[in-house]
Amino acid sequence: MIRRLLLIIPVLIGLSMVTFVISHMVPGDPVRLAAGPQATAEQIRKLEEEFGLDKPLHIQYLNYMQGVLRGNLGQSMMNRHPVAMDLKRYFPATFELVIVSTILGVIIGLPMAMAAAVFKDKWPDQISRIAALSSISMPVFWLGMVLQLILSMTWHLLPISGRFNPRVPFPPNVTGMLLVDSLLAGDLNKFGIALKHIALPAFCQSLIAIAVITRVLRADILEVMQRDFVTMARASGLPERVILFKYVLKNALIATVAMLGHLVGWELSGSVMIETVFDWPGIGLYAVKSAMALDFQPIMGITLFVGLLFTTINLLVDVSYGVIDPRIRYG
Amino acid sequence: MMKDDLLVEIKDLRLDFHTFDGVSKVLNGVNLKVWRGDILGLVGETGCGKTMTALSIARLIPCPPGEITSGQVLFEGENVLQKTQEEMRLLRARKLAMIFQDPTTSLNPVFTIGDQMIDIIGSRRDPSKASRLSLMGNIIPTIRELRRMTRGRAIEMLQRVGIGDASERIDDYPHQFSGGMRQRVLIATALSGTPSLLIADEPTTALDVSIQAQILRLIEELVQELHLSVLLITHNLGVVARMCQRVAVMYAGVVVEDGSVMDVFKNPKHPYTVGLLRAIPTYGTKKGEIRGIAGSVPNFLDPPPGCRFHPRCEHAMPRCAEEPPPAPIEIAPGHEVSCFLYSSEFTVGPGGS
Amino acid sequence: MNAAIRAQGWWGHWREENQGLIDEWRRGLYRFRQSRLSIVGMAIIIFLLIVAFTGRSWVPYPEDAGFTTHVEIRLQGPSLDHLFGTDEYGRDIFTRTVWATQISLIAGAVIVLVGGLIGIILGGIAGYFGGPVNEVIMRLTDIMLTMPGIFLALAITAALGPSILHAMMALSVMWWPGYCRLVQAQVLSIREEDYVEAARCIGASRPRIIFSHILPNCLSAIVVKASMDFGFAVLNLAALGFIGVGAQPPVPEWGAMISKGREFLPYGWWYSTFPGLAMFLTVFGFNMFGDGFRDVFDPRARR
Repeated sequence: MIRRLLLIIPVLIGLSMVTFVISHMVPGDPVRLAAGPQATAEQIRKLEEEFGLDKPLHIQYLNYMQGVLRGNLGQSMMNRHPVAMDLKRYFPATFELVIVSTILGVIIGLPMAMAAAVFKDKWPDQISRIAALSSISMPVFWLGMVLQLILSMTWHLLPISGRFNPRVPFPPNVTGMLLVDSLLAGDLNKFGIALKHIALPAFCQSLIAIAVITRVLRADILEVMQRDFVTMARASGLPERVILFKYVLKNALIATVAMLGHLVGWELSGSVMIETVFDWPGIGLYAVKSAMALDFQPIMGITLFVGLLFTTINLLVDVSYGVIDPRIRYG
Repeated sequence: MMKDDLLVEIKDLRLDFHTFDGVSKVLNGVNLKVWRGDILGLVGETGCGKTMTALSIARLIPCPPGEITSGQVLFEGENVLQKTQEEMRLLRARKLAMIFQDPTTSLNPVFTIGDQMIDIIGSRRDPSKASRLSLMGNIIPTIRELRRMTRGRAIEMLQRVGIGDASERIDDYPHQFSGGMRQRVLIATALSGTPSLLIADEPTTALDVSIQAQILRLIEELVQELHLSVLLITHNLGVVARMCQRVAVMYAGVVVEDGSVMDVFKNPKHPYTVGLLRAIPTYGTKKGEIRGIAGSVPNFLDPPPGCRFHPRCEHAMPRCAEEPPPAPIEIAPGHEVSCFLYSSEFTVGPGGS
Repeated sequence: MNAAIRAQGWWGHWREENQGLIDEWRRGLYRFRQSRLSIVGMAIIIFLLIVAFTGRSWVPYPEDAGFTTHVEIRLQGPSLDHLFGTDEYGRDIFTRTVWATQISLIAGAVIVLVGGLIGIILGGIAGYFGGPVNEVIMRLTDIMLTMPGIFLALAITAALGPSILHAMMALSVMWWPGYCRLVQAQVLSIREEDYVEAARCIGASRPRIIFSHILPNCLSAIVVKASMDFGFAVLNLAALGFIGVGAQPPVPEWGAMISKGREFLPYGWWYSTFPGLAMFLTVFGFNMFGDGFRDVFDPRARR
């Protein structure tokens, strides 16, 4: 356990080095981009100095890492904000999206997986298989647009983009998640607005979760049903419903929990595109804008942040194993 | 023994298993009788179909791959094969008790044994309420109450099978028990209702030798106490000699001989039984003198025609390779053989040619 | 005449030696044929491959794949002349979609091949030599896997300059760790097996051991993974194109086309819809095929 924690550090350092080198392979000139076409040589040189770009590469790297340890992730050239501040501002939106879409994925995926396992090879199984395959084959950004086209622009059922109605103030900020905050403030109207805005992006995001949960859980359920204790339970006269929902499910879920870490990773990847399509002010959108502007400080910051996030999640998943599987807890 | 006392009667049961490589004819006409109050040993080599036979009585054979092509399995006079799923479940809850070979895998690792025992005891007591008891136990207060009351019975049973400090251990998980203890837990669970038949499938094979004797003794005691009938499956003839009143010998999906332990062991008639008994080294056997049976167990996908034992049989006759072996022939009261050697000499009783 | 007889003899001999493998494959093929979904997937793929590779010869407006303009017919809806409508330059979207199919399929294959090759070689080396070499390579792999690859690919492509080639390079970089880990694990376990020890005892040279003994056993796992990866490679490439760092105009590429089509919503709905549909169909076909393929050839996944 401790070993794993310690291993994270060199890995993250390595990550930062790799990203640093990459973001400095820029053939284009970000400074020139930021300064604008009218800038004089003098102004450009001053900008370079300001961003420390005139020093050799390894010095820049060391300066940067020193700053990171103090919590300073540099400054964005686009908007002159500290990267750390930008991250703090944009992260809750992505977080909310990932949480809601995972929940949605479980709500839809769990029953599908169970139906597929119980009715193996019959039509519920075939349908769930096709659904899962469609979900992972789907270009999410395209689906997002099609849904926008149909549900928002043509039928006006849901808002086109954005996180909230621009004319309505946010609920008081507690967690940064609009759904939670509006409930905490008891404001159902705002909750409704937030819900309507998150519906489409979360659904698109949840596709990958649905696909993974359906397939993995189904396979696990089928495997667990072959085990001896299921035969024993049947031989003792327990009803099938109990066997499925109690005995089998808990065992099968253990293996599925392992997927959660990866799932969040995939959802984060998806968020890059979904946030672009739905103008969702999250880290994905921030990453895209920074990449387009060749703004490497934010790119570095985002990379490190996401790397750390991902590693933390995987660690949490490992820990939760102990909670769920009694063999590990009392092993 | 009269017909009413026949608890289980299996008539000419044939079971096929559809595998990718072909159809495996696992049971090829099994005939078996378990009388009430009897302790019947079912012996045979690994893979001869003993477990399948036992599972058929409880109808626990998965039926895709498996398919029962003919025969009847009568439990208390009713054909098990014609019952509905729910009827079977009620039968298993009320009348049957089963113990399997590997105690490690027979218990659900993620629930406490108390949890599992309460589920099963409650189900045996009142099968119709089993779902609610197991699934709603944590949510509805009245059901939680019920579970607590059942818990007392569970602790009782655990103590009966020799698990001291049962009231603490009941909240432990299966992996916290040793192999022998787990088997005791399983025995406690199996016998927690009022079953008529106990089916024990090699209950001691997976256990240490020192524990085996204890478990067997426990089973003996409980059988006497609860007036159970037993179908004891084993490949260990010593266990049969000690515990069983009657024995049935199986080979390659057929019961070749059955009768009282005395009759069969003293007077084996089927060539397979003879070979089996001869192979057991006794005190006087000298080195190098162990006599096995030539040949090996047939491939169930492509079994030999006629009698499946004929390639290894010393007394094989031409008709053994052509016709399937005859239905059980009674050569003495209560002692039956399924072999052509005895078909023309004794035509008394069922079967015969 | 002699050569034919000799060839036959050689074939018969090879057949004998590899009877086990042939049986396995025959069984696999039988199971594959049983899965209707896989057959459908295969049909889709064959259809697509034909479209992609013959496309250039029969598309109605081949010149529209480039920089031509027909301003007079710009942004027209689907019609008999233009099945998928026209874009803002008046180019036929159907032509461009078909063209894009070919580009994407080739690009996807290249990504998986290059990434896979790098990963296999590195993984093989790591697994076989073990020790510090293994540690270094696996740490590197861990670093790459620490974050969702799309961010990295985004950064790389942006840094190198938006182009489809750079996007492909970036994605190959994102891809190799998966194969590296897979192969390393396989090699590590197979290395300890008895038959490798036996080969070493007879004096087989290292490369020979690697190639004729170890790699063939990894092969099925690799092929299974590759068949599933292809679809993802195509999707990711289109994603980069959508964001704007992949293919640049006038190259027709699904992602770029969908992205451009956004500007014309809701009026020009056909612009984004059809390329996306084509992309979905392609990836879906490959995934269905890969799924069936995996059911058949991956012993662990056997139901």
